[in-house]
Amino acid sequence: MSSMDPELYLYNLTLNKPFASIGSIVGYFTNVDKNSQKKRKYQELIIATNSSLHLYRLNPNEGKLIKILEHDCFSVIRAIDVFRVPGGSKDCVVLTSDSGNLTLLTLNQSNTKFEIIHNEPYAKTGLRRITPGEYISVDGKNRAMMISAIEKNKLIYILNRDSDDSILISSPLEANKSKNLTFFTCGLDVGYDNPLFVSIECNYEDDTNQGKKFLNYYQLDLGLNHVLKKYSEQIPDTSNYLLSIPGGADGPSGVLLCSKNLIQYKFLNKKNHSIPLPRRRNANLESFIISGIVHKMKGSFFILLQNNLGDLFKITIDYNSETIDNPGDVNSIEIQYFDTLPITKKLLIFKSGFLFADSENSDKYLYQFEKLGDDDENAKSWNSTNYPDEESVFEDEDVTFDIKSLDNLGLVDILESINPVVDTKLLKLPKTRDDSDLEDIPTLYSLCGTGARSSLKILNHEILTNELVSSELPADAQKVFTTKLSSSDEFDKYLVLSFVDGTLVLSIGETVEEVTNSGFSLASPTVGVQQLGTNSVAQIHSNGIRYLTYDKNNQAAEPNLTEWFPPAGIKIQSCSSTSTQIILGLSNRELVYFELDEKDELIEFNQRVEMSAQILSLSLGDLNAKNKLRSKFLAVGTADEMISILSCDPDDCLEVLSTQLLSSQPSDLMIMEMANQYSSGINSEAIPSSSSLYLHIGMKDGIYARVLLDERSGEVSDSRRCVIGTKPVKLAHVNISNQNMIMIFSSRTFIGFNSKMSSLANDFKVLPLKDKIFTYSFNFKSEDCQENGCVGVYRNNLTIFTINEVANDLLIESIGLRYTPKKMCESNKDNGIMYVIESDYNITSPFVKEDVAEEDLKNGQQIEHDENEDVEIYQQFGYPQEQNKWGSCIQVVSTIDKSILQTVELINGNQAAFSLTQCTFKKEDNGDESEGEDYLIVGVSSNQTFLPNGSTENCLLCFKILSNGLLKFIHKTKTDSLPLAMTSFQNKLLIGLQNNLILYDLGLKQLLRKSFASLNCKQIVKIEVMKDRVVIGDIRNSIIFLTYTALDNKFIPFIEDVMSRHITTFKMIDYDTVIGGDKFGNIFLLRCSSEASDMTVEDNHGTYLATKEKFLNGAPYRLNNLCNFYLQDIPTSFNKGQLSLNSYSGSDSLIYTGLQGTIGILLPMVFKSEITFFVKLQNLLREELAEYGYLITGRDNLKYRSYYSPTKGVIDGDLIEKFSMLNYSGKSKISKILDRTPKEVEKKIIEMRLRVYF
Amino acid sequence: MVIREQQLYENLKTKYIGLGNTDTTREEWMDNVYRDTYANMVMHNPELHHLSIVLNKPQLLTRMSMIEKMVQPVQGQKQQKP
Repeated sequence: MSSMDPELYLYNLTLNKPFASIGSIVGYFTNVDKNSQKKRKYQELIIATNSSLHLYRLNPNEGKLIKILEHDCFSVIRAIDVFRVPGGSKDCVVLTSDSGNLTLLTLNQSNTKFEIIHNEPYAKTGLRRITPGEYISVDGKNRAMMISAIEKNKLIYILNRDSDDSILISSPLEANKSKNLTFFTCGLDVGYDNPLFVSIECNYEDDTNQGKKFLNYYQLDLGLNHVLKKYSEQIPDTSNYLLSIPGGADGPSGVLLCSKNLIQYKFLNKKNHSIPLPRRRNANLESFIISGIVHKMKGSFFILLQNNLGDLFKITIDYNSETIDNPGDVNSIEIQYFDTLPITKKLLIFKSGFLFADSENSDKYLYQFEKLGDDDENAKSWNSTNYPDEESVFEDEDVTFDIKSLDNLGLVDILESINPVVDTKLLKLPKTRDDSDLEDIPTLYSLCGTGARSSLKILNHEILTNELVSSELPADAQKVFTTKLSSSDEFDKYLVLSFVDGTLVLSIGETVEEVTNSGFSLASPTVGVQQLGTNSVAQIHSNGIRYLTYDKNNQAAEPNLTEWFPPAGIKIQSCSSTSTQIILGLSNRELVYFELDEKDELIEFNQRVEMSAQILSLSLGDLNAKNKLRSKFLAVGTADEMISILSCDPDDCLEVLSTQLLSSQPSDLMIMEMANQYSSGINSEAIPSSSSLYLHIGMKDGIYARVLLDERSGEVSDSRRCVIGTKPVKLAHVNISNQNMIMIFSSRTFIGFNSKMSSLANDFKVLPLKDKIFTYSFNFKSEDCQENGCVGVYRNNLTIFTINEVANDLLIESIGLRYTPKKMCESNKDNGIMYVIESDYNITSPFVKEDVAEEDLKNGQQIEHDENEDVEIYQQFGYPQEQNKWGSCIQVVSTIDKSILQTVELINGNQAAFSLTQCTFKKEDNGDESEGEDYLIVGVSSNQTFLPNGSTENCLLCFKILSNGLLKFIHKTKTDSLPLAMTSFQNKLLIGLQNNLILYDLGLKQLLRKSFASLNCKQIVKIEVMKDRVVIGDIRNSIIFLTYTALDNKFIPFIEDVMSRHITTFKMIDYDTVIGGDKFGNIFLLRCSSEASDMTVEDNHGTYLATKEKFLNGAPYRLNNLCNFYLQDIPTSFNKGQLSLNSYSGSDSLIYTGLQGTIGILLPMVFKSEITFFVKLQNLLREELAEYGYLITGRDNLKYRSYYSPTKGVIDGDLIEKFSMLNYSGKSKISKILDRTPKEVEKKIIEMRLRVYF
Repeated sequence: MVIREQQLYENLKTKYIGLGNTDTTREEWMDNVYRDTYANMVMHNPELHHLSIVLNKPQLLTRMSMIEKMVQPVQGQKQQKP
């Protein structure tokens, strides 16, 4: 097949966006209305990841960051900064990307989306070392900005504003110097003098000063419109950070230059001031500043710097505040320890007194300032007056301080992030409780985070319930209802349970008690309960209606009873009701309709309608939302697989308005209004801005569908359907956070709702409840449970629970780990146990006890299992650092108890674990029946160093897996180099050592070498096996397939890739196909031709393959490349399977994770028509979105997805879903070409989404 | 003619760093490849992130050391390997 028409198409959807930031900014991005001062705008935060922008609004009253907007850029974002042109009314964003454009953005206030102000092209697309854009620095007064490349190029743009308040940008001025490397740049604040930029640079071909760093000052002469290098001075070789000091009227101007253990104040040729960078007591590693922030307040400013251990320092600058024109000189600077936070990429301070720590790894934090560190008299501080020059700083030995827990800052909010994701497994938990019918959904188990903050995260896409009460019932309940007794009641009074042969009525109050004098019929099952009129309740049971009117003043008294009976021998099978209407479906296919008259009497409509078939389900609407007199429509589902919409209007009562044929019998129906659009209010609560009427349909074969019901004509359209389970689907209404939602019952319980925050407008989601299953549930409101309450029944259990939040994001559960995780493997015993290896470089492990017995040391192991209470301290401060030291351990994690069962710390000889596998060795002489014993093999190196790699000893540690899943050390086997890849293969162990494959079997004293093969590659990083086939991934030579001939005990490479890809991970998805990822962020699918594949199967000795002529010095055959896709994030794992229940939704898909937190799915596309549709749509969208201005950096999407190799066989679902962002004319333009309506196109897009339940 | 070509080459070389001709030595060529590689690691954030996790070093410092390596990429490597 040609590249135009690949054999296979995959649909790529990103389920979780990467959240590792490259920068973040804070500002007033929405227009500040100068005329109305009363409404103060909130400050907003933009976090830029490598591929998208995330906008948050700070609510200072609650101290919460609320997500407002997410924008996929479809390009590689390099740097971001904020500016406000002098006199402008709001802040704007400047960003650089691989598009070669300088992008200026503004936030549109009305519909909150980013709008392009300018996209100034300045370079070719792609990233080269001389492409400017790596650094952006904005002048202190926002008059100009400098865009620099790593090497040579610097461009300076002048910003201006015209009379219409629109921003103008000049053509760039160049400040290039060849063979010059730039490390850091910064725009100085010099008031209204000519803008000045500083940068740390070094020249690589200057003989005298090669490698020496210089601080260069570039001045932009606004009058002459040119740039000159004003001043240059040599600085320490370790300088790495610059922070501009406010100038003009606000401060002395100048810059803080940070180097190893040193901070200097510099400003042209003015006097320098030096202070030491304090170090922690007992920490002997160098200290560097990695981020900082200057916060300007009225008349003063506040500086915080963070070092590479996370310690924050406060810098105070003492200066003579002289006239505005002539800023005073600095007298001294002072440094003081402030607090310790996780290592950040960027620190940001909000005007309302919050600090945002944009952590490099894991969650991001919002802190509130409690004080500014001024009050502590005893705090140690260092003043520059004591240090006349640089040398004196290093001579001072008293530069240590003691760390303390958070004191000046208080944590108020957390933005959850799973980055970095090191490894992930898609697993289905074993059944923990035998009695539970809960069918588990395969869940992702990810190794996330670094250092002491790392964890094994369980990523559920489920909704959390909060159980309040659970009690047992005498029998299995079919249905449950709650009801008020009077329309004025605030809370529900009765809880009615319907059994197969009776009814139980309970009163809701402080205690739940059985009510005997309720007036309800207890002998027959209840079909429905409805509070009607002011003081009445109707119980609809299978043999009639009991219409009960309660005494207004004494509800406990016996109610006044009116009864209605169906014809003899006829039963009521289904019913539906509103507070003024009741409709009954009788077993003789007749519909009986009642309405309440003004005197609260129930009047039967004079005509009964006979349906075409048995009535299975009925639904009237819901009156609560609007003060309507009656629901206008009635939906009737009949056994002939049809739904009829009937009118309830007095004029044409019970006349059929429309009908709809279904694929299966409708087991339940529900007409309900649902909000479908939300506008985010200032207080950031999403407010429903429009809603529509929907008919929800549950079908007998486990399908749930939602159709739009036209509020005038009763026509149905726009259906969304998904497979929910295997049992007939029942529906119930729930109200959560004042939002109407639908509860769907089948094999599992689901909630369907319109998502508040989503890239898709009108995005309907169906998510399962976590750990809970019900057959039916009903809203529940009592004094103790005023909001979001539900009562549900399952078999003979009654549960009252609340659902506090329906998040669209992942539900993350964490199990804390000790060090940065490297790899994991699951137990083959189906006991939910995971083995994780963890190692951290450059730390000394506090878990190594000094008093380890000699014997343990000899074994190389110490097995300890004591809970260390210092974990929290290490999470805040990190482990003590020491050059070239390792901390490493193997942990046994139970995913059922969510706890660590065992930790094996590697304490001998500075060891670090790099690979592991579970392996079953079978003793051959024991006869064929023997089960084989499970072992865990861990690849370990001693004194490992990087750049360049080196180690003193490498070995394989062999642990026996005991019956309870714990590990027992057996022996170790030395190897020549570090084993990075290993797997269990035909009851033996197969490892990859550099370019060698070695097969080991278990021996008494060590592992025994059984076979050996040397391959044409560099370093094997992963091995996968299937039957007698071995596939290896190489660190730079892509994938090689080998076949193992058991008769000759030989590995024969027979097919390899044409490209040399730098494999990070791959997965065999079938015998001939692999999906892989490389370190540049590509995903690709490779397939072995059937000719080559057959050859390995037919030839037992492999003689033909072994003797076949080599092709271009490699294996005789080459792999076919089926799919290519640029992901941007580095793929770290692939899993084949489903994120949904069982195999309801058909075929398996591929789930991948990326290092920076991407979780994505590749769905195989089956139908030709589907493929052509999406390919066409994708092409049209690429153009239309660019025209519409959604692709804000101006990067061509096709080129972006073909960043390294031309994209092939993959449809960019993320782009497709942006269809809904288009305006109406754009949508209809595309739809017209596709010969469909915009609604139909949207439906097709959402159907793809519903296939993955995300 | 040769001088003119030489001038043209020099001119282009200032514009397109990494341009080579028949006189380019192996070291110069390798220097150039290494510089491109290090710069790429720095410019593509996932790669820098990857590296900084392995080295247990903040991204800013990893970035600095990568750019520092661009000064003398080949010689620097030789010095490190005894």
